[in-house]
Amino acid sequence: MTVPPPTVSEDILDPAVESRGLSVWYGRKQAIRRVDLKMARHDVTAIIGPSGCGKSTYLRSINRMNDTILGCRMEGELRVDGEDVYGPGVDPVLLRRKVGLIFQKPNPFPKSVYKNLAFGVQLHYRASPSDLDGVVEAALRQANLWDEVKDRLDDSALGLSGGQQQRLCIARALAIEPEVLLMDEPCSALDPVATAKIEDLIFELKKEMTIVIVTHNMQQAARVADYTAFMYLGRLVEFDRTRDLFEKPHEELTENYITGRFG
Amino acid sequence: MTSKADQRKALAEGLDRLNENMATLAELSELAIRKAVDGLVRLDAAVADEVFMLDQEIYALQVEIEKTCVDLLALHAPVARDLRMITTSLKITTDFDRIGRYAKDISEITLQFRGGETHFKKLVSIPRMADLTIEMVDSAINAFLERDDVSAAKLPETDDSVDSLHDQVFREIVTYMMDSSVTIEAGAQYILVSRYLERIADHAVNIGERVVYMVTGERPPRIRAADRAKDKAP
Amino acid sequence: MRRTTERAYVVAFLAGIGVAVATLAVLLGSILAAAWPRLSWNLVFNFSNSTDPSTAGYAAAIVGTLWLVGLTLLFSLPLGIAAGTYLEEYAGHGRTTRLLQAGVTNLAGVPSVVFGLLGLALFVRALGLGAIILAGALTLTILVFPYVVITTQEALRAVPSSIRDAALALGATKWQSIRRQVLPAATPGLLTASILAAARAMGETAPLLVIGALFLQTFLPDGPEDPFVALPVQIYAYSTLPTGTWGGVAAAGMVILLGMLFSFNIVAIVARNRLQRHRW
Repeated sequence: MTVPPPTVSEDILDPAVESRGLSVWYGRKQAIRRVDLKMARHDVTAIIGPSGCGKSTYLRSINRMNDTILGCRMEGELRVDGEDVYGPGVDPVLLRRKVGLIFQKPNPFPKSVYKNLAFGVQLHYRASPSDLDGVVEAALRQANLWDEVKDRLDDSALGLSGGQQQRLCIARALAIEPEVLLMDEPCSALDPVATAKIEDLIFELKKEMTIVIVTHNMQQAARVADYTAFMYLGRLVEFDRTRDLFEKPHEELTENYITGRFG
Repeated sequence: MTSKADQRKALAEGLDRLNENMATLAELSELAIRKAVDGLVRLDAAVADEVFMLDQEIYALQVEIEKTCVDLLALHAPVARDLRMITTSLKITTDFDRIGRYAKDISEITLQFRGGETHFKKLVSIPRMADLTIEMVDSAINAFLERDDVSAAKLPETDDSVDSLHDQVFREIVTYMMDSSVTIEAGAQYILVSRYLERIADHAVNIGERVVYMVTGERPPRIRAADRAKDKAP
Repeated sequence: MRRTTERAYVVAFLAGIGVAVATLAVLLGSILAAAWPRLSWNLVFNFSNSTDPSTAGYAAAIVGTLWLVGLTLLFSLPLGIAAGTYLEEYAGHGRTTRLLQAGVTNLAGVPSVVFGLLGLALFVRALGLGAIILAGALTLTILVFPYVVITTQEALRAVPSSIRDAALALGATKWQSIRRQVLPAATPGLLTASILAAARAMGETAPLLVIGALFLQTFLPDGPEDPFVALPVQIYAYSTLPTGTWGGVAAAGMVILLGMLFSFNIVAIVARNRLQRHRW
């Protein structure tokens, strides 16, 4: 097992998310092997790697979405803001307010734009109708979607384009004010223009929250991420500042992957 | 839509072609230096003309290499060692272009030695400098092609020899000018030639530095010859 | 050569549909033809009798059927949807669940007369309710229950799991996700479940006969505690009388029954379409 060069991780003094020795099994199959990783606060960390390397599993461990999968078991520590999310007395429901997740394929509810945004808010807060209006507008503005939907808040969310739907899902997550935003290949179902809009959005959002993005598109990782982690077969192979990883990677495996010599 | 494997192939082919072109560029430069000095020693105008043609060829090839590099960057978004190889190629084509120019300048000087049929004495140091310089350029391009950062790091040492030879020529020619063994005009030309060769050697050192970056990703600091000598002294 | 085989298949399939449509047409046609002389609004408002076909009607039967269907829906829908939701969303995949699921599926295949016997023994006699509407509705509830469960399960299965994931990722509990997103999204399917339940309840004859529905009722039932007659039973009753004179009356009853079924279906389909368009 390789260990990432200590210097970069050591520079991250107050990580928003940190895992130590995290291992995850699906039944008997081990998907993640003793991964130590720190995500810097208010920065974007990308996790790259070939299919099946465990990056999505890692991501979903952070907000305990893996709990919903039968036979999924984990060992090790995973801390968000210093608190072990798998510790006793931790409520996954409250965790998921703090840690949002955007899925690969946009999944708006088959309801109006407004109701999509209101759902999360009404789950966690007691909001008057005027409060709710304010929150909905703020979240849509934050997601750079307000101007496009302000006249059709009561129309079905399914009538939006793919890129708009994904931004709607982001707005929906933003409405409950998360501190960490997890994104699982958020642009893989979108065209380049929509992708660019979401990457710009990520650039703005990171001022206010920590973002972890799983992507199979290395150029995207290079464009948006401050730090990049490369995983292979469940292990963390290398972790570094993005510009260093893409200019002179330390591990040959990393170099071979990012130069496309295997994928 | 090309698959990842095809893209790799397209990039690999592009990089191979780039390597070949770089090797050709180096060959042309070395040939230019050799012919230029040879033409000067024998005061052969025809050879001087050949050098002018070589300089044009070098320039054209350099432009093509530049275009290839930009294409590869635009189309393939290369990273890591591929990226470093391309940016290094871009930079050292400039060095080779300069080398070609200096060779041309030496040939211009050859053409200016019109009246006399021979030099005032047998030229010794200048051909010696040319040999060393060509050796350096050769070493540099080999380091590039072999991705050998160790040999590349040795170039500054040879450059020191070239520099001392240049000092030597300078002092010699000044002495000869002072005792009128050679005209001021001719003397100045010889000093210029020596200077050009010394500059060519410097460019070879530059190329070596870029090769070190290409292989290791590190940029070595520049150490003055005097300081290097200090390190060597016990 | 392949094209001929191709066309031969198409012709065969069309023939199949043709037979089905033709059968339906003949059936409906003959019923209408037989009922024609007797069709009038009197059928709806008159009570039944066994003496004069020209004054016989279905008043009590219509009301009885409406009571039965209403109560059956009232009982079976919540029970069935709840059971279906449990099986589809909450139950694990172990042996118990598979047994439960098998039980439901098998229940759907039980001959309806058996439900009648069950109803007779349990509701009419053991619980002492007697042959009243409530007993009939309870019996029909058991009969209709497995269909509601299965249709509910299918409706829930049709809701993409991405919606559940989205709700959970926003911090909903499982129940919140089901109640507020999944079930609403499954509403078209659940409506289908209701239509199916209503249609079965309306059309079942054997169980009601076994329970003790009346053949002749000259008063309208006031409530669930009253004895009853239902449309299919009444039709059967008229069909036991000489066909020559009473055949038309029986056929007319079929027309009424089919008409009610038809309108139920239309209403449900329209409601479903409107919901799908304007639900949000």
